Amino acid sequence: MTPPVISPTGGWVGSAIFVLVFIGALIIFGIRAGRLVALLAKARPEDRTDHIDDRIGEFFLTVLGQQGVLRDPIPGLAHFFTFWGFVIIQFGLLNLMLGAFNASLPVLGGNRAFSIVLDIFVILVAVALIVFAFRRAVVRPRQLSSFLHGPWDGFIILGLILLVIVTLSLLEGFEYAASNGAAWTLIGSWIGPWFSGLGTRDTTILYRFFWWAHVLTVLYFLTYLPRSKHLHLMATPFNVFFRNYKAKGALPLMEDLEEREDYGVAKAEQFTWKQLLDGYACTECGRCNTVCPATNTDKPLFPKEIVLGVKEALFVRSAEILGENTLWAKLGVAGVPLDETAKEKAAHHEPMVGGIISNDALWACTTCRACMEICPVSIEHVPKIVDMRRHLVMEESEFPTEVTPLFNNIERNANPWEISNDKRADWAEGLGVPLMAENPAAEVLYWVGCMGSFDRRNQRVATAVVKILQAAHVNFAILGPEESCTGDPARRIGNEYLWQMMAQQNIETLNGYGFNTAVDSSNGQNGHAPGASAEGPTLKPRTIITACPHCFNTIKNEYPQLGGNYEVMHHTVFIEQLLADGKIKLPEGFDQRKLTYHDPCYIGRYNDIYEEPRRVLTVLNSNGISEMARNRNKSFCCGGGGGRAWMEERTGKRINQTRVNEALSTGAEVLAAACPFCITMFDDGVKGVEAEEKLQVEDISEIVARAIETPSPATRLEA
Amino acid sequence: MPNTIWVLVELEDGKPARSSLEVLSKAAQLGRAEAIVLGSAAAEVASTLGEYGAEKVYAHADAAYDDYLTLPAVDTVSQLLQQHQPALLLLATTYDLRDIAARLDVRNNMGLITDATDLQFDGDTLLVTVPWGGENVVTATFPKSGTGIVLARPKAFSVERHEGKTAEVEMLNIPLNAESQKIKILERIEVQSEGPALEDATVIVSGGRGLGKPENFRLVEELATALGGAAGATRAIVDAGWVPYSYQVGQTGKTVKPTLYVACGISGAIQHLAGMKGSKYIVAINRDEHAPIFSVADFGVIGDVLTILPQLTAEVKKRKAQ
Repeated sequence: MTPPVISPTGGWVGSAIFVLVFIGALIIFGIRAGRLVALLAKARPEDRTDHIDDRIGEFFLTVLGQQGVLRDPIPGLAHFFTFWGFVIIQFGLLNLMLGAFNASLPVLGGNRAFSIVLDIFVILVAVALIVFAFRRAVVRPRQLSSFLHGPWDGFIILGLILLVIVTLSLLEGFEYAASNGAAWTLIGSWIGPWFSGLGTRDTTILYRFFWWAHVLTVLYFLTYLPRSKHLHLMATPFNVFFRNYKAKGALPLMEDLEEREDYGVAKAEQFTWKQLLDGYACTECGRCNTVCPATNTDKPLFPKEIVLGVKEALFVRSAEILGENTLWAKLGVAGVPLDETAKEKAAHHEPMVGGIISNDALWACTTCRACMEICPVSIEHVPKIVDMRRHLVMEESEFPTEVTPLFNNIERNANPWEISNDKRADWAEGLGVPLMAENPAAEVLYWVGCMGSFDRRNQRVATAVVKILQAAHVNFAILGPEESCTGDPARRIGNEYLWQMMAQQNIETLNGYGFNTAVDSSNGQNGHAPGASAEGPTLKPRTIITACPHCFNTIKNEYPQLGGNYEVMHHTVFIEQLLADGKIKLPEGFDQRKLTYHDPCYIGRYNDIYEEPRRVLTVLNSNGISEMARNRNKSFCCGGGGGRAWMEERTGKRINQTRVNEALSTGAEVLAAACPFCITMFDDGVKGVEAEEKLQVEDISEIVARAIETPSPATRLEA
Repeated sequence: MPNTIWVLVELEDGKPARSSLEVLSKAAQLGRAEAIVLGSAAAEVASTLGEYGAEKVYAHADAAYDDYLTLPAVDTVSQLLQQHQPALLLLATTYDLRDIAARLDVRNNMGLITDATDLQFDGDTLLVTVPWGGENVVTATFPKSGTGIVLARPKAFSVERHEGKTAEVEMLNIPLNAESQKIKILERIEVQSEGPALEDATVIVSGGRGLGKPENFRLVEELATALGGAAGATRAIVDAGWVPYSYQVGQTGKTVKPTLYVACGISGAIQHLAGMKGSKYIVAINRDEHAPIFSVADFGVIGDVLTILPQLTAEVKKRKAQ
């Protein structure tokens, strides 16, 4: 406990004033931050304590290691140093404040090594500040701006950080000068000699002045934080810690559909606490905007504004949410102070959905997950959007008119079109494909999906899959009329009711054939093939394969919510396995056309399947893949997800054409895809940009099937 | 004795709505058709309904029907039902008539079948065809005696006009209950629909990518004009910006059920078929004989639309001139 060389307060009066100021600042901060916590406590409950070991591990990587922000190197490094500088300066500050009581931190106080590290970080923060200020004032990336408030918050924060390090440097310099070098610090020893002409009295006064300035700046910063974007500094560690560890492809289940009183989210407090914490954690960096296919094609959706809009809506209603009997209401501070724009919206009683957040923004989302993938602080944009869509669909019956036939047809015909589901297996006529009803012991169920069953273009994909399965002598079957739409488009448009209806129907069918892998002892129904438990060993786990990433994702990740647990594989993974096991042989270099591959969102970002499709393609094509700039987890959506394939794209550029142009720019002749929606969107996109002569859209299975069927490996493929 | 079928004829701008005349024509085929017409133009309209198959018309010329929402009509029809017992009340599916049907059903405990595409009498038993799930249909009937209500789908039946036929007109002179004049219509706003009136057209000629370039859409429009119909388009050419969205026929565009649908250079993607395969007659012109459009077409021409369309248009014009 080395006392400071010179007392910073100059006696007990100063120290007493410091104590009062310090306590005052803590009270203000406590009220402001506590109010934010109280708001979370009023939100819906949600359990986020699963996978606790992983949470702790990742917490260190993301928060202390700054893993998320470092993906964007320049601002990432600058942030890394600011973050660590901030942490270290806090210890330095604590040390300085203890100086008011002639004390210091154990170990660190009076430790020269620590003081050197501290000052090095002060310099690094100064460099980072220059980078930040340059970005904000000169580069001005569009994603940094927001509709909801002006650019000032960012500059105020930069100004405050600057003030913190300037006052710290000066106090070190004057302390060095006043103590004639006895109080050695790195920066102090550099700038201290400048002030040696002033005399001890003056330098001591100036040292004390900058001590106060430094301490007051930090305390002001503390009280300013809760209403600033720099709230993320306190909220992000929690947000990262409580991030979603369930399957990425599963939207939250809406429980008690028959009895609940609200459907979806219209008001901020109907979100779960974690969805609201997202708003506190948002740093407004706008990475989500830069990758959003809607934002990039001039749609009215900006993912960042969704997150900030929810936060704004929460603050607008904070007084009402906290109610009259809370500490905050009694103190008269239940209402979070609002920005000018938010005040205006509050004065007009603008609702959250359809006001602060426009319906058009919500409908523009393709649920491609690019925003969530890039977000350094684990914000969950898509579940918020779907929650608000649920409100629009199930409470307001307010959705794009062209979706009506989709809902009606799924409900009546179990497929999106006005086609009788009895015809679901018609495409397979003459191909020798058994139905499950005819071959109940089939090891593999090929889940064809609506597109493969009814859409002419995708029937060719289904046919290709069948040819591959037959060539590999797989014992498989299809469900035919027993198969129904999985409900995926309905769920993502917000019609949870319809999704649950379809899911239950399909789960019943799949369980009937013994596909459920989880034996649920609680009700004794699930998981058994009929009679299996009575007759002895249960059937070995059997696989469902599908060529549709949307079917794949919802069966694999969402059906478990309703008790359906299955082993599901995307056909690209299955084909890759057949290749690896030697079940099918492909002539290497069979297809030497220049090709590029588009990662579908629902097998890529949602299920981390990136390499299997590529391995299949590179076996066939020794030239490899001419990758588009945006590939793998940065893949740019085709525009068809989230039910968008069933809606009109009325504003901005076409998403599908944007992606087709990107494929064309690689010089590829073939755009390999692995999703029926991507194929449909790209076929239209290719026509739209009039590139039919230049670019073919083909499913990987089509290329493989052609290679299997062609007798001579030397045959060069005709376009 | 033939069954008596009542039809409530809706008025649009003082004229009978086409949908009402469709069901009136059907009623005349089923048995003795009688019409009810309510509103300030009732008297003039009543005298013309004989041409569409009505043998008797009950008319009440009172502006209250025009000024208040549905309730006065429900009152009047209910009163008429107490005096007469027709076998059936057949209504077209429109916003007002759906509302009236529901209220009549509840008020008089009648029984209501919606969404009918066909109906016939088997003796005294009424059999109603209702589509359920795409191509499936169910046949429904009323389990009890008394007057049942059937709402028929628009365009399920065609209008048949017999010029010179007249109906017996009975002008009603009943006081309207003030209680029923609750919901006053303050304002009527006509929604300005842009583009061709595809939903109402009996003939639609549509074009797709097979036309080659935007200028060739003119050929589609010319044939549509020659046939007295409207021009439509596929999503592909709407997306490509050849024509506005209002032309789009398909899953995410308009669903049409014209008598004649001519698909020109359209391959027949499911997105398009979803919007037009309910058409009565489908004619397809396409170069590719494997195009899926031929699987739904009644009549197919394999060939180049650019050479066929001008000839077809010329022939239609020539025959119309004769």
